[in-house]
Amino acid sequence: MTEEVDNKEPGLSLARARQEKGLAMDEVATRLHLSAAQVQSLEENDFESLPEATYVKGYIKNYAKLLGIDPAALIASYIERVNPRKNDTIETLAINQQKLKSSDDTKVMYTIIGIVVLVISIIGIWIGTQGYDEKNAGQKNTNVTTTEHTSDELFGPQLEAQSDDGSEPENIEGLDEPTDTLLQAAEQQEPQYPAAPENTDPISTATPATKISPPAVETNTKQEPAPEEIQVAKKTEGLVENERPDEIVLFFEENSWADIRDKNDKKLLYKTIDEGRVVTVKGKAPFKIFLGNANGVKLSYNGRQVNFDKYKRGLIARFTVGKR
Amino acid sequence: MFSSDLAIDLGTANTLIWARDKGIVLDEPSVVAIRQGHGSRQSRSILAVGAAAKRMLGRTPGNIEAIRPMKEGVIADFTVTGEMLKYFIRRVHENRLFQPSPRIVICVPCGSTQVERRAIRESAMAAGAREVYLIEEPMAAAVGAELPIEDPTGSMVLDIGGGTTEVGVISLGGIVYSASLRVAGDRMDEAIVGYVRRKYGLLIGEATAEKIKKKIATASKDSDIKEMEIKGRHIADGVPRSLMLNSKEINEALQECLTAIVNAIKMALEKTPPELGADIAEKGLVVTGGGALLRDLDRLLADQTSLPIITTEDPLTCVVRGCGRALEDAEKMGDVFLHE
Repeated sequence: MTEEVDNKEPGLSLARARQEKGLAMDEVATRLHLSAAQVQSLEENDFESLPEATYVKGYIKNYAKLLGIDPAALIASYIERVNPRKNDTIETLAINQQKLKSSDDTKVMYTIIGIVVLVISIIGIWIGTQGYDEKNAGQKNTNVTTTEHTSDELFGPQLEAQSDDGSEPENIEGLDEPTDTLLQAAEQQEPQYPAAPENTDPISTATPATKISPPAVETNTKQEPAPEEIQVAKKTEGLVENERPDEIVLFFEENSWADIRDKNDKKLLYKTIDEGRVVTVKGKAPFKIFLGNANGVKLSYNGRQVNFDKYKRGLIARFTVGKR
Repeated sequence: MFSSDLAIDLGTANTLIWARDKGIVLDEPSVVAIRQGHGSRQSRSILAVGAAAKRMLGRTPGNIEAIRPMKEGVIADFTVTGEMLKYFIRRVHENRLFQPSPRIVICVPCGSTQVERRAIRESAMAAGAREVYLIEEPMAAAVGAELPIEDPTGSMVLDIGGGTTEVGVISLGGIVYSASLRVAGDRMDEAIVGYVRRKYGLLIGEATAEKIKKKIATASKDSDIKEMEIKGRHIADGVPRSLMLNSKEINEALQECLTAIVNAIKMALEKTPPELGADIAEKGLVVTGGGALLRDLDRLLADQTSLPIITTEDPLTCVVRGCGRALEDAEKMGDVFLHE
């Protein structure tokens, strides 16, 4: 039958089918609205002289329809002949597209999953470090508060008020301030320490503090020193348990402001001490010492007398003891 | 990078989308079902789009409306068209992590006005397009049918769609003559509905008419006769009746439409310069679009025009394939897009 299409010769199959039907080439040409030459080219597989593939496919289809045979096989063999590699029919293309799409989908999905995992891990690490930082910061804070706390306990409520300026004790005003705070203390009717007398404190004489100070000079100065000494010693001992603490003994021949800090910059002593008192301070060396009225103070470190004359500048002296 | 380029055949009947490197990824009827909200807000929400919405056509209760937002090749309802496009684009966009913003080639009827083209462009923009290129339908059909459009030879294309029939003569990458006729698939359905009502006093819906057209309609009087039973409501009785229709009657119903299409071709041939006319006479007329599937249309056209009639393979997707190729080979093909 004509159905047996020659793979490479679609024209031959058409010609054979036409002859079987007993049709003339001219007749076919008229029915297809083509020229006889075009039909002949078609039957002779002379596709070069025919128009583009789209048209030829149309001609073959119409011709096959006219002869009552299946055009699909003929068209397939035509495509095979003209362009062997372009054998993809629309169906196979569609299937390929589907495959492509699904593989694309999975690729995209894996990419997204990868990105999400990455982002989550980055966020996790970030949060972790944040938490660690916060914990550290918290620990530091607690440290700070505890130290402040101890210094509060040590030296009473006025310490905080003074600590701001206390960091710059070189300023001679440093001498005034204690008197100021003492003024406040005096006003609050909480006599603790006597104000600096006029003769030892020439700068404060200019301030009204001296005028108001006389009423502040109260009687209980003689009771104070003993518990004070004990307190300082106790606290510092408590702080430095495992190491043998270094010891500084201060002999106050005159009233003087004293600021003593240990290795960790902790205030061991920070106030005006009255004349005639002996203060013992224990802590970790080296000690940073500032004395407001250096001429009136003598100092011994671990039982040895320390000469700090060369550090004196006018009334004050700033020096370090027990360098290692 | 994140969204592939798309070619869209925004047709009256069907919307097709072609994606770069993937081929045709969507083929859905251009129908949107909208639910009217209750209460004070009166909000409109989309209930279904595409095939699901098409099944609702003519079968909706009061609060649901099935709309075909495209009429005669152009936008009839701007908002709904935009929403439909947005839905379709999102559906073909497999990467759901990012908002799609593809470059889009979209075809417009050659007879559309500036305003209509602008509406299509804007609605594609509203649907999230980064850039929109417009291409005239006959050009897209010619590219899709793999005609030698760049060659100095005339090619004639007939695209019978849902809303419009387009005739174009193309040479050297440009349109020499084009005409758009607002007679196509939809008008045929209406003709069938009108015919059945006039002749039998039976009311049928457009969905039924479309079914008749696909199953038994023929363009030629000499075709084999096929029959089909249909059901409809009798106008006088008001009760459902069934009826046997044959292809000869439907051919009669379609005569007006077919004549209009044939006349448009004849007009085009008349207006075509003689050299190109000779090329066309030698090679033939290429027919695409859903209308090309009408039984024995090639026979009718061949008889009427004396041209070899070539129906493209897979005529429904020809235009969108053409849009896609235009997008892919834009550099090679030269300037096939429309500029305003």
